Amino acid sequence: MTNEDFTDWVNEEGINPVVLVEVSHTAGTFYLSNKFYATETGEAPENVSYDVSLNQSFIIQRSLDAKTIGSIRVYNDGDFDDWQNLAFINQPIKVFIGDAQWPRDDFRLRFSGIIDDLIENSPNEFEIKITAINELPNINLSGNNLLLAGTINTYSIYRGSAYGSKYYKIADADQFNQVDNMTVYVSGLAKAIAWDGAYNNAFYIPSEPSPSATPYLSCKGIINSLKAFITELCSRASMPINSANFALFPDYTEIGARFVNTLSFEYILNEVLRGIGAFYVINGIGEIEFYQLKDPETAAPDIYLIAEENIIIRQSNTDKILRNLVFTHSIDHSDISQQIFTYTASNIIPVGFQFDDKAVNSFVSGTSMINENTRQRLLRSKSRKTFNAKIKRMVPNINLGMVVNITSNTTGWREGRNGIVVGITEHLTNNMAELTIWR
Amino acid sequence: MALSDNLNILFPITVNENSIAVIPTPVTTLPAKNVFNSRRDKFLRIIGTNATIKFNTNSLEETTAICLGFLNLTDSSTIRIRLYNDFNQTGLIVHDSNALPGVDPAYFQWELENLFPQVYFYSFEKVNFKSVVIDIVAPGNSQIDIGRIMTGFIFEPKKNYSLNSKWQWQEEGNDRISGNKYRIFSLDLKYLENIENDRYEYEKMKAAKQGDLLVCLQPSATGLDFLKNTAICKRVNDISRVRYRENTNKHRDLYKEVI
Repeated sequence: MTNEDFTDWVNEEGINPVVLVEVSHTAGTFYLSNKFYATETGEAPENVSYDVSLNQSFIIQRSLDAKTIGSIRVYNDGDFDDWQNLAFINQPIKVFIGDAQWPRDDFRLRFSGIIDDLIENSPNEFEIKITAINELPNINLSGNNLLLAGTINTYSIYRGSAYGSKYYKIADADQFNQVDNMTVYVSGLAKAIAWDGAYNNAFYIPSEPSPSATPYLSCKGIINSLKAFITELCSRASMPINSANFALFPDYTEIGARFVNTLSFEYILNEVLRGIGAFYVINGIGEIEFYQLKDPETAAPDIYLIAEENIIIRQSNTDKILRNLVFTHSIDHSDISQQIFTYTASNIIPVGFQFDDKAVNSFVSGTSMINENTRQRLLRSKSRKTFNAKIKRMVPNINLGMVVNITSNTTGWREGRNGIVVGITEHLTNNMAELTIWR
Repeated sequence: MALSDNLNILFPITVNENSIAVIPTPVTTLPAKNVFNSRRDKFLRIIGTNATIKFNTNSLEETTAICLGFLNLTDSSTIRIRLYNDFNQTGLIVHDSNALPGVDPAYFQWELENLFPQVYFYSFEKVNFKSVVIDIVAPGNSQIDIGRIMTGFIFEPKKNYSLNSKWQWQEEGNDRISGNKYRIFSLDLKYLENIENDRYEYEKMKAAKQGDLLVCLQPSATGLDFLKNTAICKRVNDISRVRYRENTNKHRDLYKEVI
């Protein structure tokens, strides 16, 4: 199933999705769902009947200024009594959605996070609190927005913050890597991700050019780190690790990998990098450079120079500039305080994202288009406020930080207005979403 | 094989779940004991085209029917049921169905795969038994799934349910494929004799709302009519009974299909 087919299905009226939840603990994985679903021989996972134990309330809330939180309520008729003896906290949890008639491969990863807490609501129900390691909002510059040395591509640029201190397993069963509070400061100082406590598995940037024009993920470091990263990359995107999807370059002193299946590349990075606290940019020669941030107090950050002139962002419309968006990096990692500078938002012009006609017609009347406190319409106010837009379907292609263009059959909104998505609340089993828009 | 025209409700007996043996060995994630679980999401899976399932009771029991539920058989499959009067299948065969079609052809004629779970219901004259051997031959299958096996007492009232009992088809959500779809059988049993009432109440109490059972509204029907009116269900309502004549009892029950 293509991503387009999936999007079409999500946009249909009244779909009744099957929600599959894979809950990890230190000794294995539990498989839960809201409806009967079983996998077949040869699928992954193989011959598994998902426990129909999810109570209907299943909400994921994501926000730019708060931790992502999710709540999954599980009905326990005794089958899960042994959960109290298992270790779940800080273990991964994944949520997939699809249709009961689909093969397992067609289900899409809807959310990937970490188990934050497990509490008992009643003798027959407990609640799994989930959170993401970080939420790196991205500016999705779709279309012909990024021109690099004559090559037109579609890539995403990230910035943002990570919240919480979580252990995230990306390698073998007995190896955990800790992601500390990772914050990209406006001034450029970055607090690190600590790998193994000794920074042995840090990623940093090689100096050799890309061997080809296809998206090239390069990093210098211990090969195990890259393999672990690729493994997790493919696992999250449900892609097999084979030569059809990526190729390692053994002839470089640095370790590199080229993603052959370029159509999936951005999708993969969107999911994985968000999960392990990193971001990437495109340098002037077509390389995708992968940034992992280090604690400036204990090690120099491995952030490579990106010359300003190597990044060209083509303006695709004349919508107003968003001033809150900042892209930061350093130019020399020997002196952090002086070498990190900031791009202002004037250098970045986002593309408006237009809802399709179906989504527009789905606006729930009474959605607040005004400041709830003052009841003033948000016209050209100096102060930026948020408002909520309810949508009667899930929104698989909208992410935090995305610029969206909202149109509505309401005075002042017929021509559409831009705003940034700063919060998304999804009711997965009810097939509804609520966006908090800031403008 | 139906014995009468009247309502049949199969209340399963308790069997020795630890005695179950399956050849070939089921997949580890979907083991044999799942067939005794009333949950739809717990079932047995065997890789291959043939399967033999054996299990025992705890003591000599009587039965008049066997039901296999939530199957995935193709229309070329057969099922053979043998009941023995001992635990080791070396004694007397008290009943042998011989190989019978595993699925009514109407199931595929009407493409009911996405609407009704596949249920095999076989009833016979009462026998006393201690063990069961079920042989499934399914040349069109690559794997055999069995969600439920039950055997036991058939409740069959002398006077059938009254005319205003009904069959309802429910849909949750308006998605044509994946919205939850199930049947509800609403039964108005107005003319139960005292002895029937006692047995019916006892079986309902023993099963409780959590226990599943088989409801067959039209045992003598064939094809689509039989399939529509046969389902593994659970009771929805509480138990109550009205006695309105010296020897006449009325029950009104709602059975919802297990989905």
